[in-house]
Amino acid sequence: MPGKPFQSKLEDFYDFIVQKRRARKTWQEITDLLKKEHKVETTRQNVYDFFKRKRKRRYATGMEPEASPVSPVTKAPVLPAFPTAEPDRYSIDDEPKPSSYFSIITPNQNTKDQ
Amino acid sequence: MSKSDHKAEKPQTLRRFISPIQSQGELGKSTLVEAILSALKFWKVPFAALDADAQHRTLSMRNKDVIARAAATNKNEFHSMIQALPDVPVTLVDFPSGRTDELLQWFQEFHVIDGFEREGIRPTFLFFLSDKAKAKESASKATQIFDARADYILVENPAKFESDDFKSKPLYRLLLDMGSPTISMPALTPTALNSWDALERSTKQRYSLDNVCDPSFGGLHWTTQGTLQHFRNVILSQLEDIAVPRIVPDAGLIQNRVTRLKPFKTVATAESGLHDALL
Repeated sequence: MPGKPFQSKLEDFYDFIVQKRRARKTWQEITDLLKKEHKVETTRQNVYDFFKRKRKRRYATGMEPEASPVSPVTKAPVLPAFPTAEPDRYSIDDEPKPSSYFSIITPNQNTKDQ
Repeated sequence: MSKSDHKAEKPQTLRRFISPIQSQGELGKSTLVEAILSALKFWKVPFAALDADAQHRTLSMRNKDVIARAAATNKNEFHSMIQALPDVPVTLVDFPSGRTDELLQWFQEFHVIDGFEREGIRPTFLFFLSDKAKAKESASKATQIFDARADYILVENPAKFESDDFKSKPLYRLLLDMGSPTISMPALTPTALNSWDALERSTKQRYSLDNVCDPSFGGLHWTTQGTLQHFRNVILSQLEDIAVPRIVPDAGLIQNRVTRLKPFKTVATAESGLHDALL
């Protein structure tokens, strides 16, 4: 019968590592903080490998951890939003203004002659 | 609708509202709108422009002085846009294709044509004479709704579409009866279009028709710039011929006239060569 799967001693400190990375700490600084604050002795490379492994890990059904409040988020690129005229509260000052909708081009701005 | 209906007396036109309204894409719509914009600038006519094509934004990306807003995407935006119409002689709006039904509904719901007539604004719609079903159907719907309360400019673009079937329809004869003029867009070679496109990609900038036709613009081969200048001149000349009253309400507003190019030289040929002075 197989024994209990190996579990990294850094498992309990995943959120701590994420938090420090978000605070722009280097891997070496995080390693030092783990030793200083949590008495966990490890190497910079171990911390990095653990973090990378953890983010890619797939869990058996029913064994997934609760969603971490600081789990990494990747933003999709978004086109600049098209402006819309839907103010939350409408007052007479919010009357649509020509300059919000139209470019008004007068002869002074016009291009040079053909 | 009878002929007498659309010969009813027209209210005095002080301002023009110009836009395409058909549902078919890939007709050369934004190119023509840009050419009209170029013409208005060249004539030194004060005007307002809006790029309402939220998907492509061709007009506003190529012309940095044009605002883009999704005025054809929802009813409130359309309402606000009509309410914000500026007091200038010409307003040019590039509506997207595929929104004809909504636009026709909103024009009616907000009583736009009634309001336009009270304000002295007359619409001019650009109709591309494409044989494609959507182009014909949407032109027909718009004509039945606006009838003689709008003017129409008919557009041939042989490089993009055929027009034989459109011209065989009663709709075409009706539009001609209403005095609608026709302009024909000259064809640009794929080489010219590709060069323009490649330049925009390589510099990560968009260039307007006016930009690329400017003699001081150095990004294109002289043959490409030459053919683009020819294209612009041919369209501007045609637009100038029909400008009053369908584009500009008053001839006095046009301060600058297009210099007409001389037609290309041709030599009459005969099988025997007897009519050629050099033979």
